[in-house]
Amino acid sequence: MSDVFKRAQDAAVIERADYALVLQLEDLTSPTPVQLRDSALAVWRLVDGVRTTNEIIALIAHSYPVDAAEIDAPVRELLAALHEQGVLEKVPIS
Amino acid sequence: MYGSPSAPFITADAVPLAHAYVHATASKAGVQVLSIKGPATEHHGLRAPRVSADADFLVDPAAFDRLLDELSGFGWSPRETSVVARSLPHHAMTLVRPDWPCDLDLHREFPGFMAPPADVFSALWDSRTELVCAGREILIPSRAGSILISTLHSMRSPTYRRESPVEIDALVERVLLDFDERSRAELRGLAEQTGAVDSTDDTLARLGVVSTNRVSTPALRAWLTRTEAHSVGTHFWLGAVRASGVRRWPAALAVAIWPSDEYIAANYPEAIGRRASRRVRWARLGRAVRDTPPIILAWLRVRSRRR
Repeated sequence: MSDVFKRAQDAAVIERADYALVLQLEDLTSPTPVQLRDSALAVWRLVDGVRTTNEIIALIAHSYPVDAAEIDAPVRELLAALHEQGVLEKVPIS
Repeated sequence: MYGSPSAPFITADAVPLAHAYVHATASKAGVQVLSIKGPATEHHGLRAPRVSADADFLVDPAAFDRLLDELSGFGWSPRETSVVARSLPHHAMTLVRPDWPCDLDLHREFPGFMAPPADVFSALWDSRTELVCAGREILIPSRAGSILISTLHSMRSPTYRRESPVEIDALVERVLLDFDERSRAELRGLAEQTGAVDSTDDTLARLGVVSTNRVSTPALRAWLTRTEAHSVGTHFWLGAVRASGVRRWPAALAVAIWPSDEYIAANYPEAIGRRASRRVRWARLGRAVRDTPPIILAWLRVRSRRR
């Protein structure tokens, strides 16, 4: 089973050419924006609420190019961390 | 941070995020707030885009303290201010956080609007519009409201004499690019509702907005004197001396002319040592001597206009 993520609705986002800043607004007590660069930025840009994690890994592997198995764990960890920080939400899969 | 080593959190990014953050905080606290100046002014085409140094908000005066408490609870604290600033009426509060490169300026009222602050906020709120900032919807004054705020802001600047005519010229030029009768009527109505007809009369006249709904109050006369005299410090001290009452004038004047060591230390931290402190005192005095005649002349002009 591969998860699908979408960008949190309750987040403010600044997108620049080489980085993005995401400030989640669900919990306002700790207003520290998450900064995404390089491969993390590439992953962020592929998260659209439709692509599965497996598809994102495949696309990243294709565009860099690297072996998908090599980036599988780091990408999943990144998505999990961003989900944990409220920057991404999981899309329920029926 | 994810990816390569973290880059600094810069003001150009922090300001739009701050607008989104304060609106989210206000919304959860049930407080009405409008983003003013920077994003609103640019959205309405009243100035060329540039990076703002801080994020400004006009807050429903009745709920101002509630929003302040909320933000304080989230680690935002008032910026250290000078003795003079602390003794001035608090129409605004500046909040800072060590990890944020921009301040939050919360305005309880905006100087130059002569109507009661609650009425001013209500008029600006009722005519508000929306803007997407950092991907979030924020609320800003209408174009008419932003014209009034921009004008008053420029007139209040300590560098008014040097820069404001240029700023106001640019503002008028931009407004006139797209300003029909309906816009004029809207601006006139809002200026009347907020008591800004007299305080912005030069700008309104240049925009072809005529209103006969004029009032003359002590607050308006003080505003006109201050903006015409182009002085902040001396004008403040003269006002403080005047407000102290006739019997206390000598003592108040003495403090104004030659303030305490504590005052100098708090307001001029760069003046370390007796020689530097003395230099600061004489410089203050020089400014007072230079600025007092224009203030008196401005006061007389404003006074004669009443009659």
